[in-house]
Amino acid sequence: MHLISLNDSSYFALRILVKLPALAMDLVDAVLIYALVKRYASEAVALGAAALFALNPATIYVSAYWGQVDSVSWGFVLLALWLSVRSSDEPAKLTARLVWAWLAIAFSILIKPQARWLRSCCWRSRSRRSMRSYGRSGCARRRSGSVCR
Amino acid sequence: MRCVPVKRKRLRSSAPVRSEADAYLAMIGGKAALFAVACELGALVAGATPERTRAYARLGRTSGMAFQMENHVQSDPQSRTWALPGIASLATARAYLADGDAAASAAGIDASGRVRAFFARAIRPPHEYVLSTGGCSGAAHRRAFVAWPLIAILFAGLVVRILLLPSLGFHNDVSAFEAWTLTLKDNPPWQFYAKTSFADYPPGYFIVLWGIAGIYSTLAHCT
Repeated sequence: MHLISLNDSSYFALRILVKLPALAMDLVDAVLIYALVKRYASEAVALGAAALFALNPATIYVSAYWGQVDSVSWGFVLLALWLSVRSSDEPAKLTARLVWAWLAIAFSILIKPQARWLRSCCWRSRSRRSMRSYGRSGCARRRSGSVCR
Repeated sequence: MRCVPVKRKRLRSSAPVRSEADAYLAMIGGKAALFAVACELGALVAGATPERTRAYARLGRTSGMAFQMENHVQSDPQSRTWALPGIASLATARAYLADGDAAASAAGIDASGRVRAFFARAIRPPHEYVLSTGGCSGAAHRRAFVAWPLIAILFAGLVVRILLLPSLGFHNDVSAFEAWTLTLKDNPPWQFYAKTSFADYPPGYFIVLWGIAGIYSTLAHCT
């Protein structure tokens, strides 16, 4: 009897633990959404966007109830977006931030391949742009959002 | 009365400017000439020595430029970025502002509290402009204030999720994650696909689950 109850509790702990990464990343995603929206809109709008994600029944259902890990993979996409829009803020860190953004997208695809369409979208936007507009006045002049427009 | 030579800079110079940063600094330097002239004339009228008069002129110019920079940062409070057009590095701006700081002490204006307070505000180090994301002096307070709604939202989201955490969830998915965690408890991730009976996920998430398995085995040891 003792053994069974121990097993029960340990499997309970396992279930909780298995759901934890998605839960934690839900909150990280909300912070990233807040930070991204805050760059382009007011504080109130950014808070609203974060609340729309953090308190959304759908996201709560997917992570905490269902137990799926989409918030983990999309979290890395949001991180990549955040890094790429910040890449032109400080020219010295432009390359490093873009490299980290690509790595974050790569890891996101390795978690769940849902974000794989982003890769092709970036590749296309890159190749369509002429190299002239790239090299003329250096990286500092480029607009942000180079991972994905 | 002896006149101190004033350096004149043509705003629309035919000479090519080296960079956007130079053009920007030349532009705000030209605007700051008003400050420079005011400071210099004040020093002259007060009968200051030529060195001190020059120092006041330099102080006026650099603090005027600091004022312009501050103004331009303030003009773009939403983007939370260094909004000075074309400034290649913060070091450039910092050098100009440090020059103003040096000029302030050279001019010996430390005696006057009010003047010092004004210039202390105008000649803030540039990193403060970046950190105070709103750009103006009240930004730090405002940011500390508005951080709380975000924390409240996150906390509410956390509480709701924790309440739902013990639920069985979608059995197929949760039991697959549980089985994979148990596999990773006994095997490293690089042997995962060889050891597991079923896996329809790419390898990325198994690295995360490896960490979860580590926590789980630690907990199992403790209990």
